[in-house]
Amino acid sequence: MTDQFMMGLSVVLQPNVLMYAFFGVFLGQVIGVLPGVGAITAISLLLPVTFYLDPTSSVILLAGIYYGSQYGGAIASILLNLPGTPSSVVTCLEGYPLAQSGRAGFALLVTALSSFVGSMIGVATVVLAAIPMAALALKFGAPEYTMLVALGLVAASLISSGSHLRAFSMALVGIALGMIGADPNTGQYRFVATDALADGISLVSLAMGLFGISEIIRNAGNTDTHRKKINLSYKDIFPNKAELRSMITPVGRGASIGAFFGALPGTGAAIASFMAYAVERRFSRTPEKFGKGHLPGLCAPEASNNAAAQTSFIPTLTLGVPGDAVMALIIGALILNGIVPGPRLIVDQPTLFWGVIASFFVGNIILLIINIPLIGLWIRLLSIPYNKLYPAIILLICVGVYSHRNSVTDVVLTLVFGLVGYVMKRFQFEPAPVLLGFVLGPMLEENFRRTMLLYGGDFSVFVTRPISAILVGCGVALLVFTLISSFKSYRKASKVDEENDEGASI
Amino acid sequence: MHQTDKSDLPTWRRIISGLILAIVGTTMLATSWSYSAGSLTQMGPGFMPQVIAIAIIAMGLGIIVSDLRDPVSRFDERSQPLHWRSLVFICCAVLVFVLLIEPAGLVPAMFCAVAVSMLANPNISFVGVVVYSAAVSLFGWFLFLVALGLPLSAFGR
Repeated sequence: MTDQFMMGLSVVLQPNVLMYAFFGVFLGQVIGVLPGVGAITAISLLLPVTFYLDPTSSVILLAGIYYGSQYGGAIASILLNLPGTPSSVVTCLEGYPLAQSGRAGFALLVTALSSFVGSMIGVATVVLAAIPMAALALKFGAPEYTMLVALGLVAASLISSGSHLRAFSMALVGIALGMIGADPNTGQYRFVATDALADGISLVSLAMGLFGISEIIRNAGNTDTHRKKINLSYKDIFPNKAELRSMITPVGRGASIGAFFGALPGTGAAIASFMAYAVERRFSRTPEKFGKGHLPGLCAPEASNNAAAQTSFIPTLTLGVPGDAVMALIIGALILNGIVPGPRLIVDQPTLFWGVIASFFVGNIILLIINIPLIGLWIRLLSIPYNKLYPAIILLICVGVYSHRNSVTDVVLTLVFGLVGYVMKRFQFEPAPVLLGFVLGPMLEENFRRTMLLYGGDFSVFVTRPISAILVGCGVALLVFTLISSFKSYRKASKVDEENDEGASI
Repeated sequence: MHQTDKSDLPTWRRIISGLILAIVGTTMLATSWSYSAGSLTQMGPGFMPQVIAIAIIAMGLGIIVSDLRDPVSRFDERSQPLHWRSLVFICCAVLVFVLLIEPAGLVPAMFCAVAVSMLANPNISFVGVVVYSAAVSLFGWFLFLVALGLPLSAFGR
């Protein structure tokens, strides 16, 4: 394992690969800082570019954007109370009050440190888990893959913040979109309304439309440029001994929670950060301090989302099954480069596999180094108005989609998906499950068909094979847990309603 | 409380999202009906599309029921006006790019697309549009043709 990791390091430390690692994390940090531009948008913008790079550099670049954005997201949260990424929403709760009390520099340093430690615990988990997971993955047959993919889709819908029905229906729509084109088994065309759809929808068009164009339509021309004054002091920026000591357990706890939820299919960094915050609050001896700039409440979620950002690569790299929309794009990049993701990756492409993992290690060190010294640059980025940004994004989308297959139809399709995404958002449908369903759908169909063929249409195979049975068990447990907790919150909500009805309206 | 009264929204607006979904599912089912479904052990190309289509219809109906019963809070965004201005200009910008890229080349297509997209911002001056579009196009020319070396022509075919 150490040997492989060292081999990976030697791949990353080649100057041209290192350059892509640096570029990736730098861009990720920038994207994280800019509110309104997310990692998914940035990765889908760069997806066509990776066609011109070697596969290892492509994945290192795209992965860097993802985990780099986890660092950047905290900056806008702390300074402006605006979360730059979904996973830094809870960072606002403690970070912004801390900045208001004149310790912004301190808050930024502490989050950078927690993020770094969390990431390193995440990377260590990936390194330790990679070989056993890949060995386990070789035992995966069609039934196991079917169940794993199904679990990912169900988990992504159940653990979403909005309505479960809506999230699951979007995953189904994603599966349906993935069916367009030739049926893999018989070659018959399905849902090919025009000849242009014969090759299927390109992932690039779908991602850029749903995330890029629709966000621009929602935000362009937003003229309220509420620019808050940023007061940043470098006064007592370094944590003292007592503060450092009070950080150790929350960071460790947060990172463990993150490492677990990141590796689980269907959950990701955002959920991990919420969980870590909730756990800190529940087990704190001083819960009244939360919400006023309490240090453990700031460290734990930051460690957690960074650990999760790293461990989410475990199922992606060892099983070839993406756990969330970002990972779906990474899988897409591998496929675009002609590499079949799956359990054979570690054997067939050891330099890619270990190079990518080692790049996490190097990338996080780069992030820690550029984070605090360049704080002036990040603050200047925060003041870029969106109206200066979106014309450039439109340009990147148009040229990116067009150059991918030299196809005008793809650009038109992107616009169509942008409009669909805009309408979806208005009806409270989240676009992320669509992307996940789009990538997982073909895997689901292929493995389900194969299972039914091999086992003569017998569904009991899903519970008689041990690994598959465990996956089914996870799914059932998750379902029961969600039903119970949503029932509880439903009762709580109706109770609150009654109280409001009785009392005077606020 | 900030919740608006349930009666604020007409019934058709409360059911429309689920209805659209159910219609999408029905269309999908109708289209996939002509593909052979085969049997469970020998699935044809139509089997999974039909299953998914039925699931989408069921979800659509489920969403209609839950939207009719739910408090109005999640309808907040729907009652806001559409972003007409950016809808029109962003669509036009992409279409302008589509129309110009093959006959006119990359640089004119970029310039016009950026210029049209900037009109989505109501507080913009003519000079601002021209200067900024030129700057962004220059950046695009450098990025795509010089740095990345994409096989596209800058002007003309």
